[in-house]
Amino acid sequence: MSAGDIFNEIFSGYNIAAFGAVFTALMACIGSAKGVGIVGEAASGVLAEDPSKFGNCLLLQALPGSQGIYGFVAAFFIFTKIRLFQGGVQLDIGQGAYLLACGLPIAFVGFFSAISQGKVAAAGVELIARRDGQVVKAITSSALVETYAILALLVSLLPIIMFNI
Amino acid sequence: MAISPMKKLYTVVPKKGSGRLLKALQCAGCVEVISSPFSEHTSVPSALTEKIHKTHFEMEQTERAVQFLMEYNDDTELGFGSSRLSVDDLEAGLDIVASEKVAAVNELQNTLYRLEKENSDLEVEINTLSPFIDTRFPIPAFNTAATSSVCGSFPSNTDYNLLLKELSKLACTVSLIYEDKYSKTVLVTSYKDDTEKVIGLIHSNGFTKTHAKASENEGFARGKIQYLNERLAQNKREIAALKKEASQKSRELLQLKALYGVYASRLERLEARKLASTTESTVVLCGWVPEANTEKICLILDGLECAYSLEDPSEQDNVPVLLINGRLPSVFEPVMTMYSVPLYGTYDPTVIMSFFYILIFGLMFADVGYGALLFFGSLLILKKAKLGYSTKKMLRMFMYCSLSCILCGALFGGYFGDIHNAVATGFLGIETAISPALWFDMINDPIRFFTLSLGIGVLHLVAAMLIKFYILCRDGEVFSAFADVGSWLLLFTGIGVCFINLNTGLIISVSGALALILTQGRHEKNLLLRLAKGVMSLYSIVSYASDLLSYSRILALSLSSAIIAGVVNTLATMSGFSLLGIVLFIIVFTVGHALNIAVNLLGTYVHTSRLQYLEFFGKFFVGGGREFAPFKYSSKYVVLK
Repeated sequence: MSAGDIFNEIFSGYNIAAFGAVFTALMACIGSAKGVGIVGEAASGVLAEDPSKFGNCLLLQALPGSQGIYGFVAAFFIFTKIRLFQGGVQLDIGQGAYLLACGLPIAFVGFFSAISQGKVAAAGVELIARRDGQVVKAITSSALVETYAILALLVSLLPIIMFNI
Repeated sequence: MAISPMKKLYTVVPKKGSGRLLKALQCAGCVEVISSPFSEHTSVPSALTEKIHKTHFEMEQTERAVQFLMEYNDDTELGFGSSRLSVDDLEAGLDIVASEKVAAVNELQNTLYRLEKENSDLEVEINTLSPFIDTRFPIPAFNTAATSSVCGSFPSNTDYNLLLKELSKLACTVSLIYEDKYSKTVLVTSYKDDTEKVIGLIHSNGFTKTHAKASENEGFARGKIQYLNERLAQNKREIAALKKEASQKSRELLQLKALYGVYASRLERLEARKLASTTESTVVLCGWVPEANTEKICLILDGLECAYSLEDPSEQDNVPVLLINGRLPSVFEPVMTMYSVPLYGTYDPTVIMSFFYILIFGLMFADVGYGALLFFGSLLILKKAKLGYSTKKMLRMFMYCSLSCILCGALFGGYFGDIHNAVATGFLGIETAISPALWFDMINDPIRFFTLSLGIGVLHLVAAMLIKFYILCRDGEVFSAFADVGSWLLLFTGIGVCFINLNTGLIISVSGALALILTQGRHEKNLLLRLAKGVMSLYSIVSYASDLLSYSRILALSLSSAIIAGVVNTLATMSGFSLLGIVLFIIVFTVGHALNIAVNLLGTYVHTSRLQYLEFFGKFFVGGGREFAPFKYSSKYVVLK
């Protein structure tokens, strides 16, 4: 097998698309894990003082988890398009690159917005620690960050759904 | 399905009758006593403040005794809320006898803690002494005419041999007494002339003098250890006796719990009395009564010597909120109040929310097996365990949701993931892909499930907008209702119709957009600004789109739990159909699915709640209300009546 064959084997359209899906889930999930972690640290501090705030803290901590879910959804859509579960389809490099590119918006926006959202939610945790009844405001400001992750998800999903082999 | 209307109660009662009035109101348990408007001009009698302090102290003492005895109580009959007692009977004679018992229990508790503390000190002392057990010299240091000796230890990282070499230059001996992983215990003896140098050298090498102490009179280390051990055993015997006494005393637990109830209720009453204002000969009490309870309260007040009035709340009042819902929706109230209690006079969405909550929960956790486990698990805990009120509500909520999980599982073909296929392929060797789904298989057709998720989202969002529409109409702002909500609905209907008939759809949506442009800037005076604001309002379509897409999490959560379940099934059936295979199947199946349920149940709960809070409540909900906290008997350990 020549070097060219190996290159073609590795960078087949199918593999590129599958890599795109994996990369999408990877980035978004790392971002969410970081975001949820940031809030979790802040929440533990508050819960040490006032365990009754667990419900509110849990909610705020769950917010940056959305991006991971979005990344998962986009990845799953790419998997279905390339028929991963039915043994796969033949794709040319262009099609593979198309699907890879589709995943990028939610991959990157998911990664960065989850971390930002985590920071806002952690600040929200501080807020509810100091004042009662402010959880609505904390949630709202944190959710504003998520808007952009959802827009990115939309930009990722629409071309995937439109894609026909 | 509503927020109960409230009436403001004012009563004026002669000073003498105030106790009876408070008792009667506490017994009724449906009035929230608030600070009287005249309290600025009157002062709290000092006798009352003193009484509050005293009762508070007594209550705390009783609680301490109750908590202590609960550790020694193996009789579950006396558990939470199992007994209903009458306060009047209790108040009559309980105090004196029971408060003596409280004192005795707390005395016992103190002695027990003292002995336990002493024992742990003794154990530490014995441990530090034990390396020296075979020595026959006073510890930690002793002198003869020409020498001085000291006991102590080096940490394990000291270079012992090097140190010995250096010490050999001085007039001293070092004898090793005991050695373990962490340290070397030694006796250093030196001639008095060199003592200072020796001490300086060993200290710079990490030497620490031992904390152990034993003199000749005590029989050196061995004698002292023996003595300490005797004391330890003696204390242990005493502790055992005290514990036995405690478990005997715990038979009186119910009585002490009742006493706690009496004190706590008395404290509540005194606090209520403190909120009332006292004039020269009367007491003025002020409070909130739910409208449904007004008759009951009137009846009580008519029987007492007092004047009263019931009024509607005014604009400035901070009215407490009591939610009135049916049996099913009421279990969803905690979900809402965790977010916020609705403001008095606004809308209580519990009923509509509970419908969507059950629906979305079912879709996110769509599995017949998991649903059934959740149902019977909740049922079992509800029946067997003694639980607080809010935990019971929560479990009942999960029970309702689990029914929806079962239904959705049947619709989309989830039976512990795909256990039917896994068993067929793994055990029987049949390659099948039968789908037991009544509607369609979620995993094979995720795009369809995605559309369904967004469809549920549309329903949820439209419901929220209709509620907003209703609230605006109810409050008499019909124009706002049509302009702010109606035109958006028109726009979205148009977009929906576009899929059926492009032209009609376009006409409808454009007219909706025009309505928005024309109306959204109506509060501006400047005509140009008004138009600009109208156009800007169309930007909100972004937020609606993001709300809608957020429902894709329904797909994500249900898929992830179904896929993980599938992986568990594949692993469980991997070893084939044999004895070992079946044993492995049972283990992997149980552990794997238990983990999957634990993780995904939490995820489902959080994300279903999130969809309610952000996407649904965001459209209309006005929070910041205060929960109605009626003045009643304490029900912490026993239920009083």
